[in-house]
Amino acid sequence: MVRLDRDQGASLFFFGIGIVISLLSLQYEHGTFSAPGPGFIGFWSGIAVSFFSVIGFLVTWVKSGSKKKESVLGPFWFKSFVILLSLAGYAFLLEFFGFLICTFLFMFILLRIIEPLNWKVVFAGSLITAMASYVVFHVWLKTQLPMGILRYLIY
Amino acid sequence: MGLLDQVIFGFQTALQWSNLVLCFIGVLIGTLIGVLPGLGPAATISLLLPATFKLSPTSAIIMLAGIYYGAYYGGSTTSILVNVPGEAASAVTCLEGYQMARDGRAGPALGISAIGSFIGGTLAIFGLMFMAPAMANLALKFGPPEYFSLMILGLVILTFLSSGPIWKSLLMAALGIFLGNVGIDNFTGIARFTMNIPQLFDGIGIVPVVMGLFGVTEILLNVERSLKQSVYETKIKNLFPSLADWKRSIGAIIRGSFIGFFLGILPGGGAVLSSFASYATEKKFSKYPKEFGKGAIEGVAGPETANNASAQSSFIPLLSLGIPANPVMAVMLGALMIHGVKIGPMLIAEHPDLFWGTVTSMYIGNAMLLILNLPLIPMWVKILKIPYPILFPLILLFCIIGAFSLANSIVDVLIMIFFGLMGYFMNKFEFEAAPLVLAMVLGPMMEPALKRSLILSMGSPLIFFERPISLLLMVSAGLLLLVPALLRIKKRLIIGGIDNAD
Repeated sequence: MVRLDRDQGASLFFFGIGIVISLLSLQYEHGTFSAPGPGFIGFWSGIAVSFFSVIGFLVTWVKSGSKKKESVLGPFWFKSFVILLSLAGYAFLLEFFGFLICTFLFMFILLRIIEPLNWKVVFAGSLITAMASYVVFHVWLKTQLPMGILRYLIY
Repeated sequence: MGLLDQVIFGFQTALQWSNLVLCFIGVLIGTLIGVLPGLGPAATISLLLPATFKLSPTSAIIMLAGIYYGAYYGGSTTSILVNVPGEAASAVTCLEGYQMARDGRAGPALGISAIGSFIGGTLAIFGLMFMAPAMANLALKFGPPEYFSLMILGLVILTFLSSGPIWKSLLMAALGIFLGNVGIDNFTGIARFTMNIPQLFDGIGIVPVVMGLFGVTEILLNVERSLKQSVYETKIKNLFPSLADWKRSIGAIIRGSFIGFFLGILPGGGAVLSSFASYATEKKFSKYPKEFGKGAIEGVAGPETANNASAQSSFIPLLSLGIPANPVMAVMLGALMIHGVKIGPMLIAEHPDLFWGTVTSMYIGNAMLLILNLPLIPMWVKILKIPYPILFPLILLFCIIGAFSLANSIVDVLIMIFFGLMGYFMNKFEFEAAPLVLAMVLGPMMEPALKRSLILSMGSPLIFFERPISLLLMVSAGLLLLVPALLRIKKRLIIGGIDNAD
């Protein structure tokens, strides 16, 4: 079995992406060179992505021997994973739970899981951050932040 | 109006109390984020953009510009005291600045860095004053083919100057052009690749993309490494360089000003390339080359001057042509459009208060930075000691708020998260973000230029080679792509010939 290095793997990935882009662009009218349609740029940019990925694959194939052996993920990759999950959770729950609750939970998780701090520090820090950022952004800067379920309690 | 009248008009705008305060806030925030590793000017400007919605366009740009060039002042503090660059452009300052701090010369390192930045910034602003209006006048002769060719050249220069293989940068540029294509087509009204999500009808916003690629990605990468950093404990004294320091640095400062100014104009040039180019130049020109790596002051003076000069000159293509030279300028372009300012060569003529007010505010901002930075160093040192595990959740929170507040939509937050993840893997596989971001901004401008050109020529692509300015731009782009490849092939043939002879 042929082992691919990082660049070759990436080239193959982007080759596929380019093909998908070009195929998806066909649903829009391509037009002609004298009257390009809405799918024109999308189609040719997809072709370009695939073309450059082929160039990359060939270049790295010729220069074989520069295979990086270390893992793509760092030693603490799970911390990045936790952060991404927290961000996604925040985004999806923001309108339901509201800014204050989501911010408190978000800060609580990150302060406790990534580099664990004392529980009291985590609780107080999360609460203060949620309240302070509400005052600064919503009250002072007039940023519209959703109240979520708290609006039934406050209003 | 003559140049002097315009400058006086600019100062009248910049010296209004509200603009002075905003300039001060901008340079202070800029220095702060420059000091703190992890959040760069691109992500910060994106974050604070919603806070400028209530300001006039001139006031908004004055503040946002202050954040940009202020960040490069702050970046040197972290490089010198912590050996961690606050900004990528200050990475090279670590090489000499930290060694100077270890030798008890943190004061002169910080001092020459601030003074060099001031001189470089001031000289670059002079250049901006003369060059931007001249370029805008030239651009009035441009038609759709010239604009398209110029944007092609801009993307090619960016890929040429990017580190790493050219195929990766070109791939990112092509992908960026596709991503810029998302949204409603202006010619036909058809929604492309929007997945029926109304928030995507206007396209993928550049602000959440930049926050993701430069803010979220940076944090994801940093938390994978050890989060501990230590500030070098040294007494900071004698902030003003000695006569001997001046003698060694003045040449570096002048060379750095020119290097930074010209590289800042080029797409992809920017502060990082300027600082590295200046360091390499100083190593070549120095009478004490063996001291490099051990605390050579010209290795601090040159790069710090260059990065600040490039920060000012990168406004030239944006304000005169409407073409951003780097991702920060791409966000600035977004800021100008959000504030209803029409970008292009007519900007200077139609918004003289914005152009001259911004330019003159840069003088004032640079002076503020010089006066502020040196006395505030103890405060920056205290801030540097805030543990990163406490800092990064706050940065992420500000990113979420910034992305959400653009249109009160979680779609922008999700875009930010998606590009944060994408940027994480791009970094792992060594794909640069700058070509992607610039192409996303230029793509929607290139498409109408291309379509109009092809309609004018009835489908013939030769129109790009029949008009002299367009021909020059296309040939330049072609040479930049082909010449390095041909030189490499020639080198291989020569080496192959020598091997055969042996």
